[in-house]
Amino acid sequence: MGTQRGKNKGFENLVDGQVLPQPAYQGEFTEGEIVQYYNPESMTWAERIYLPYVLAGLGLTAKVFLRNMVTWFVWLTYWVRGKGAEAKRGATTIYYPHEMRPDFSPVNRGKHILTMRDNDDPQCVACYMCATACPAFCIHIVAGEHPDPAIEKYPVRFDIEIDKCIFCGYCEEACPVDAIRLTTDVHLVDYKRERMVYDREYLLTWKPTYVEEEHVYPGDRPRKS
Amino acid sequence: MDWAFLVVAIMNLSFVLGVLLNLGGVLTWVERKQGAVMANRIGANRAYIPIPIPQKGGGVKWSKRFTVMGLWHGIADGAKMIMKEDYTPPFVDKYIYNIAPWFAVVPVLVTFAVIPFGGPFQPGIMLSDVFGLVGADFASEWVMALFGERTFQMQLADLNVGLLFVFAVGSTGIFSAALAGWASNNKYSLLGALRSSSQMISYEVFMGMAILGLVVIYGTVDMNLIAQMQGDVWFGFLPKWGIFLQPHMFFIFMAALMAENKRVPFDMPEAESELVAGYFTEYSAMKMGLFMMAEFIEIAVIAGLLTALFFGAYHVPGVHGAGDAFYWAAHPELTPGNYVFGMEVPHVVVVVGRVGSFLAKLLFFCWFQILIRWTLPKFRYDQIMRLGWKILLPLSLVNLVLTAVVVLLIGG
Ligand code: SF4
Ligand code: SF4
Repeated sequence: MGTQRGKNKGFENLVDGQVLPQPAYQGEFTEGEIVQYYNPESMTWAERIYLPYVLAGLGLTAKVFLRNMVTWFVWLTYWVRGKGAEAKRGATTIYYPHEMRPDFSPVNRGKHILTMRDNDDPQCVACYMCATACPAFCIHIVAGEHPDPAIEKYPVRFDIEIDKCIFCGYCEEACPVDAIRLTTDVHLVDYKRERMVYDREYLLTWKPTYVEEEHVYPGDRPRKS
Repeated sequence: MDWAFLVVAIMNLSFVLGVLLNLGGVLTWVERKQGAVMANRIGANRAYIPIPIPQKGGGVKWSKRFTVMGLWHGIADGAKMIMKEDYTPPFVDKYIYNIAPWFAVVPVLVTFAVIPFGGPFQPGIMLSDVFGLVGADFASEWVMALFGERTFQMQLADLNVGLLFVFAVGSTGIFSAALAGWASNNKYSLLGALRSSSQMISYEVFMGMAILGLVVIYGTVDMNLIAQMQGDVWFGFLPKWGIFLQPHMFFIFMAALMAENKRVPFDMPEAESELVAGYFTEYSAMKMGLFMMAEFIEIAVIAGLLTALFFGAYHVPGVHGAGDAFYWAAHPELTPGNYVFGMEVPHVVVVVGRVGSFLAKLLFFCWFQILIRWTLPKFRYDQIMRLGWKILLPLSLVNLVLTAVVVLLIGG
């Protein structure tokens, strides 16, 4: 190694024993010298007259276009036989509210639900642990006294500001009685900010926010109040 | 009063206007959808017409699925533009501001008048064939009495200055952008107007130069004659289309036409990223819609021009119909008639085939222009000017000289 370094005293770029020219910024500059920091223009003749590459680009986009159209027509022959799901359709995007991506993770953290006792009362004992654990301060609980002294308390109101929630799942972990859970439902949209506050009744209904058969768009979700 | 001529003129006019105005609307959809398909997307599909579906237990549900692949978007656009407030800013020059959009639409529509879209046809024979087929003999006699065996052109105006008319009318299109930008009294509009004036004037210069090569070869500027000559064949199989005569000029001519249209690779006058919306920044509602409409109709007109000049207009290779003087002069062994690959067919088949062929080529070039629009990035302004004056103009001049010399040497 030592001899190698000795040979290459000036730290030249040695490739196959040939010394490559040093990049300009490594050398010492004399005053007034114009130094080119950027790479010299290295377009070939074909690139400079532009037309061949225009045609190449047009060929590429036309190829994608035709490929997608052919794929789509093949899909159409499947679709008229009622087997649309079996063939590819060409586009990588989907008709969002009409189609959902099937590849959501089963452990995806989404909309909250409140679990229930056998008599449809909320399981929650209004202990405020989830509200305390919540890093986004988006759970608001008003406790009331439960007639059953063994249960002590129940939530009179239980509001989650779903637009502030960061879906961290801490509330789920903090709960001592498994009263709050996060589902995989992510279609949480609305036209009004007030309606992004989910109240107790809504959290107790476990219906998904979007129901395909009824042609309900996520924003058209029927809500009380 | 020449009633037969009037009827044919109205037929031609309604066909051309029907095709152009509808294409203007449909192309907005094509532009969105094609751009989407080229980018592996789905594209416009949200506009729907609600369909009431009666439910079993009473009441109706409104289905939102009747979208027809997004075709309603064009109608929704039009409805929106018509119903929006037509706001005229207080600081504009009212008269010029209001008249400018019409300078955009009218030249575009008028240009199509000289494009032959179906060649010669004999409406008497054609219609009596059709009526005879469905058994309406009185109608056959009636059209024969009206038209006889007269031959008409499927072209709005059979002008002998055809090509010059295209350039003359096309160049008035500059006024729309210049007047709109000037009257708007807005710096962005003014810059857009300046850019569009200089760009369009530059590209008009060699648009004419580029096509002169073909004019030298054909020896005429009459669009109808040019179209008829392209029905001829070389060596018995190669159609004598402009693209085979001057393939290089096709690209230059198309570049010039697209620059005239001010669409994406050449969209300096409106350059959204620099000038808001260029010369129509101050326009709203349908006045702005007219600019857009002119742009989309011009796609169809450009496609028609390219078809008529370079791709054999209405000719289907190998198919020849009545009135094709050049073809029959070249083939004295056949008697004039309606032949498809040597077989005689009813006249109506030839006519429909030719119009269909013209429309197919027209639609292909519409598709091609939108392909270009979604593929090429925008030029810089100096690049546009350099491309025009330093590259394309000399090229078309050299081509003109060489073509003239060659035509002189081989004798036309
Ligand atoms: S998921 Fe996290 S942020 Fe959302 S409510 Fe629960 S604790 Fe708060
Ligand atoms: S932690 Fe569980 S029991 Fe306690 S208030 Fe929250 S949801 Fe109710």
